[in-house]
Amino acid sequence: MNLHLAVIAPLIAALLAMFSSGKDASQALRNALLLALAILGISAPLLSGGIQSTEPLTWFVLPAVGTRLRWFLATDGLSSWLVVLSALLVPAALVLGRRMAGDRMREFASLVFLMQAFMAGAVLAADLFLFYGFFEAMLLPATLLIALFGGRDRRKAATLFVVFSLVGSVPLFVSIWWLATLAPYHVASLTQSAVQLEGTLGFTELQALLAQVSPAARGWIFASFALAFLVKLPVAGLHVWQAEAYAEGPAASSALLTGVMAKVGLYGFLRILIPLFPMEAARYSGAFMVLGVVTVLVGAFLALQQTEIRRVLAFSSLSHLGLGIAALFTFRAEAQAGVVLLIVAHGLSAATLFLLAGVAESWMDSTHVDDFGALSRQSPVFAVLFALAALASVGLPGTAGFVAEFLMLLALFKGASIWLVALAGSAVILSVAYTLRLVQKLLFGKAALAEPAQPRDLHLSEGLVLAPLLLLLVVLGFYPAPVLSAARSDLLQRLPLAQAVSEDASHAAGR
Amino acid sequence: MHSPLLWLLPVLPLLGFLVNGILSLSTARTSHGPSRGLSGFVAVLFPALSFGLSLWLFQRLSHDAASIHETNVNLGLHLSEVVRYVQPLWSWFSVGDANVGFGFAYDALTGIMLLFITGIGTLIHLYSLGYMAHDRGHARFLAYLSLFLANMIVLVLGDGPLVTFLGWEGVGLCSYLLIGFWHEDLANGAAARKAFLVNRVGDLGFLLGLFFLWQILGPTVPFTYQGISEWFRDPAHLAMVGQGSVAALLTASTLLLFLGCTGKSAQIPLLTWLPDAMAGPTPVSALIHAATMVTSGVFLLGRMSDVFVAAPFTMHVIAVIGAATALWAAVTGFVQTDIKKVLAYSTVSQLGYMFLAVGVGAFDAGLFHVFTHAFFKAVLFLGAGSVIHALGGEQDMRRMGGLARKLPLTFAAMFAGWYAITGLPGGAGFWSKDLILEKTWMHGGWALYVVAIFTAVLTAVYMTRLMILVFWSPSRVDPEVEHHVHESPWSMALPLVILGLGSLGAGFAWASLVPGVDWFARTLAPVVGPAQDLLAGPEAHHPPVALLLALGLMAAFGGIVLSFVLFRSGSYRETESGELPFLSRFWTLLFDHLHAVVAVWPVLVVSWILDKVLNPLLFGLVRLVGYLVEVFGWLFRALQFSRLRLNMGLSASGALLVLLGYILVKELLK
Repeated sequence: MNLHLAVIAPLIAALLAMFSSGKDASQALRNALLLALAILGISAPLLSGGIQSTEPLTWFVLPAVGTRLRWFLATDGLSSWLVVLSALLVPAALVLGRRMAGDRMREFASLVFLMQAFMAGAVLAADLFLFYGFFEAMLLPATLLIALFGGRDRRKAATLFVVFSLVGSVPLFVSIWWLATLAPYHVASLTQSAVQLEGTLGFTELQALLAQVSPAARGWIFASFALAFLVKLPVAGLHVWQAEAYAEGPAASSALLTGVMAKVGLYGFLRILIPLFPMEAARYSGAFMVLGVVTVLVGAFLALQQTEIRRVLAFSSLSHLGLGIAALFTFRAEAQAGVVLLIVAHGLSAATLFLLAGVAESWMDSTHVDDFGALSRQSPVFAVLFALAALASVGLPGTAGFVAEFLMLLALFKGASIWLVALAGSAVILSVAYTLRLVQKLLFGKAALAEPAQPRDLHLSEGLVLAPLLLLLVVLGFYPAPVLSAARSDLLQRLPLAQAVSEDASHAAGR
Repeated sequence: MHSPLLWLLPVLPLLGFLVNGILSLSTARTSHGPSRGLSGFVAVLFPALSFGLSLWLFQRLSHDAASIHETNVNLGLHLSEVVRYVQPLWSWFSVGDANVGFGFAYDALTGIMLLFITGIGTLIHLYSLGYMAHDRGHARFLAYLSLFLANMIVLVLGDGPLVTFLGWEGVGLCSYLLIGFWHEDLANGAAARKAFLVNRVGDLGFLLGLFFLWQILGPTVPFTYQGISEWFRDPAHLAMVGQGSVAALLTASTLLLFLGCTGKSAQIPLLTWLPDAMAGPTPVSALIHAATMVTSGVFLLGRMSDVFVAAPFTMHVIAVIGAATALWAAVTGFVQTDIKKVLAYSTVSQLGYMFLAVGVGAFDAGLFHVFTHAFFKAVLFLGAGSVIHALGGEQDMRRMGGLARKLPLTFAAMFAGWYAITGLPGGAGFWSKDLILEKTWMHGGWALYVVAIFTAVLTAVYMTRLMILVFWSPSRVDPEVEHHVHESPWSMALPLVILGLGSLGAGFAWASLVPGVDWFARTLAPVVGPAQDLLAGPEAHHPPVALLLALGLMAAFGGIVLSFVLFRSGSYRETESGELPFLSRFWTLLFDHLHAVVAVWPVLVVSWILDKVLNPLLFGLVRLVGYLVEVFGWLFRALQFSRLRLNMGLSASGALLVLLGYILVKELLK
């Protein structure tokens, strides 16, 4: 029941927010905030619920093929954390988005809720068709947010975003469709007891199905899945849309894009790609590790050169999430735990930074770092929160990011080579360089533009929605067990398979 | 033994940080800030409580150690058993092979470190009340200082390398915040950032070193100092790490860990940040960049002595780097005109001595120099701060002089510091430096000894030069400024007096020439003794003590006389203001240039190429694809956004919602 609500409540909230009465923006914000908190209340119990799933409901059967399209949700620690993460970020996005939404608060809130619903659906879906539906649907509110509430180049950014997402997801759709046509035939022929599974694309059934497909075809399907997730993440080479979308969209949507949507890319690798294609994943693991480390470096180098706040943050996200991909393909327990913690830690810190950047931009009416300065004196609360989030994002020990980075680097050290670790680690040094440059430009020095007559700072409500996120980062930095255990209890059941295959391969190579 | 109180040690100053931080933040809008009295009281109280607790713990530790020793003697055993109080708190993370707990451990080494960290820390908090009294951000300053203290305590109190690393990075952060404390001046900010960045290079080394060490130990050994020490003290394991690929791993591990130490303790090659760090307020320089934080590298080596002695090549590297740094920095200190810069290079040089001692296997001598140096360098910095305070912010020694009579107390305190650092008989530096020279002679070879003794001469020269230029020469102070020269308030004077006395007396903790006065060595013996015995073996021959003593004293006196000859007579070249001569400047910035060539420029070039070449190229590619996709023009027209589109989108999702609702109801009714 809770699972259904985790997806449906935000949808209802989207409707309510849209059609709530009153033109008054602050009234609309109050309503939306109330709804968002209610959703948080609904989602939070998932964390303590362990593994649970709903009854699969058949929506309809594809004519001529016989594959059933089902409404089938399931969750474990990882999915629950992602749902709760987005439920935590949405109130913050709403409250701080107020500055950009102006009097179109109702539309804004509605789109944010829509995004939340689809993201929750994507990570809770236990049926490949359903997953694909939500995965694609996320595109709609995200694009609309950028195109309606963004900055000067918002059309261009939205177009790039859509084009890239489609480049990633059209092959995915073709693959899934092809699998669907195979499903009844193969599954039916597997075993007697498979009757009840006949014609479905649930993940457990898919594993059996894919084992029957010819290696060449499986390789192509693997590639199409990987491409879709790599675009969402993104990685170096596919990152062109990212800086545009993050910098031109409203800060609130950038926060959700990097805070949750990019994580769906990582989630795809963790939950779908590696478990479904252990052999392919093991075979190409070296390539993915190199791609990940290259992304780490490219992101860091590009962030050093940026002069707009949110472009620095965008490339910083590119760099940090790249490490996740590199680590994941070591198939080690430390890597999985590290990546899950990275998802939560980076989601919290990066989203906070984007939201605060949005506030600063609205104060100065500029996006260029050189136009800022001395905010620590004018706006001390803002400064403290920004500095904390920045420190969390560079992975200072005592914040969750450190444990995540430590585990991922350790996994790379054990599963890959010292040189990859050294390269990825040097990007950790660079991350200090560009993040501190940003902190310095914004908070310290002298004010570049004329100072306002009245000192301005965050509203109380803005501070109140952000402070818990940072507090959580510190708590998880000292006691990450709640997140790490999510990785341990659920993911490892699936992943030893890939690890075993990769060890076999390395043994074979060694011989 | 279990001790339930250890957590209080870092938490007390942390409370001080929180209170002052909240005070500072909540009064940010007022023109005057929080009450000086309240924030000052809080700032001194909590570190003082922490100091009291360390005193009590240390007394208990000594007592326990003595009773255990007695029992052993009665049983006829010759064991020096480690007395250790532990407090494991919780499992930090436990995944796969990585099993790391969060906890504290307290033994003799930690105890001694804590005594002077919290003691000097409390004094410097007190000093700051006077020094920062006129600064608007004094509460924020005190908050950062307390946060530093909390992190420093975690660093030495951690029961494993990763807890130490938490404090290690924490002190780095506080150092960053405090160097850039006066952040309106962007130069200070740049210095702060440089300190953080250079330290991060070392910290990466630290982490990678830990990875290698972990690989040697395997997942079954608990990753705490106790576990590591016990593993390495096992003769079977020692034989194993002595050869083959394990030896290579260990060398890599220790070298990387040492790289971390060179970052935090400002040794070649990562030393460039410390002189720049003088941009911070002077109490910060005294506490962080002289007495405590910069010695963490030496502490870590002492803490992991059992690991390092198993890697002879690394030990050799440490000794050479230590000696080279000591010499280079002493020469650099010789050509500076800024009083704090002289002291900064002097600190680098003295740290070099400590690493030299550790490198030749005399961990206790190195740590003893850490201990005495904390006193005399703190008093020198605080004295310099008092001078700067009196002169209204003047730091250039070319515009000082003749201050001995105007600032008698400051002069007396700095004289004590000078007496100690030059190595005059009886001063703190006399005992500790002599010990290092002796051990270098015995285990390090004549080349290292010559470098060390030459550095001792240089130390006497540049320190005497400082005293001459500031106190003993005719005044070159701006008359306008001279009119306002005043002695500091009691809150600044008291720490000066205590630390001044300390720099005269601290050496008697281990007066090696006096039989029986070796409290320091005896206390540390259980911690670093096994490692030292392993390296040194039984003492076959006694060093020529009298000769070495004579040489050491000649170095000190010779340097002082030389300095008087050079700077007392004739014209002061230092009176010319302006930039340093080219050669001096080049020598001073030698390693900055090196960093620029090796690291900074390549990074900038690569990132410029990526941004200006690769990114546009990718964009071009996308545009090209975009034209091809024009075929699917409908797709793009569908993206002509408007209110209408939004409404349609919402309607579509509404339809979806209805559908979902239908399913939900269907399930509910089932």
